Amino acid sequence: MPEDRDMEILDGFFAEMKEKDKGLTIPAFLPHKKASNWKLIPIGIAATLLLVIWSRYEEEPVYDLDHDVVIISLDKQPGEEMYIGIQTASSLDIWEAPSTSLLTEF
Amino acid sequence: MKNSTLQHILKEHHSSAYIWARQCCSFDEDMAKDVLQLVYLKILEGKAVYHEKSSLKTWLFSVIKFTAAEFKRKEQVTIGLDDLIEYAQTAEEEQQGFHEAMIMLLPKRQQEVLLLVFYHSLTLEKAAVVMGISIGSVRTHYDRGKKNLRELIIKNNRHENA
Repeated sequence: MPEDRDMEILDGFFAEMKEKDKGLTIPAFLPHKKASNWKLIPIGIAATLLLVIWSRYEEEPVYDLDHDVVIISLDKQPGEEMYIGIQTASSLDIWEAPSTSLLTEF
Repeated sequence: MKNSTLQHILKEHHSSAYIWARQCCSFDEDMAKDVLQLVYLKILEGKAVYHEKSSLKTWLFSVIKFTAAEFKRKEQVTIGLDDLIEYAQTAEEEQQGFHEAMIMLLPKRQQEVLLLVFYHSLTLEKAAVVMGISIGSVRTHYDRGKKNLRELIIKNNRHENA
């Protein structure tokens, strides 16, 4: 029967193919599951809370104002030479413009 | 179905799934690995759902077939006739992948139906489900495929004996 002969040929062909495929290296079954986005939500909330707490309880930086104002003055003690005095202060109580002497002396 | 149960079933069919993926990817092993990973992801993420309308193997093979086709389309995998002839000649010379070369000389639908029926022992009805075509079309491809492959085998045997 030609039909049986055909089937025999094809069966033999695929049997040989299967036999050869036994030598194939089958990769390990390791489906890499993507992390679902919803699993990241609690982590995100926790991180936000930590940031809020950290920013609230962070100590206010202490600013030292002692060096904010530098007063440079030209002084002269009686009988001495003139000298330049440099002082630092947090505030300036009295300020005299360098040109005031022009108004008073002339 | 629970993910753990699903993983267990997939693991059982892993070997035949890989071989089918390789056959759907023109026997390219690297592409088959990528396709199979995509299939597992689709299933485990619930993008491909098993509705128990067919056997699990039939459903899995169907997902693999369509994922491979999608993958090839996206990657624009094309095999030129020259590549195919070269592949067939090399395979013949080396006596490795000779069967693959013979299969690849057939039209795609004929390759699929013959592999599903003769290699994976599926019925024509199940092959129709996997291929997503009518049983009538499957029968046509099956008959033509058998005839064409038989001729190729006989030609090859004559060539070897000459």
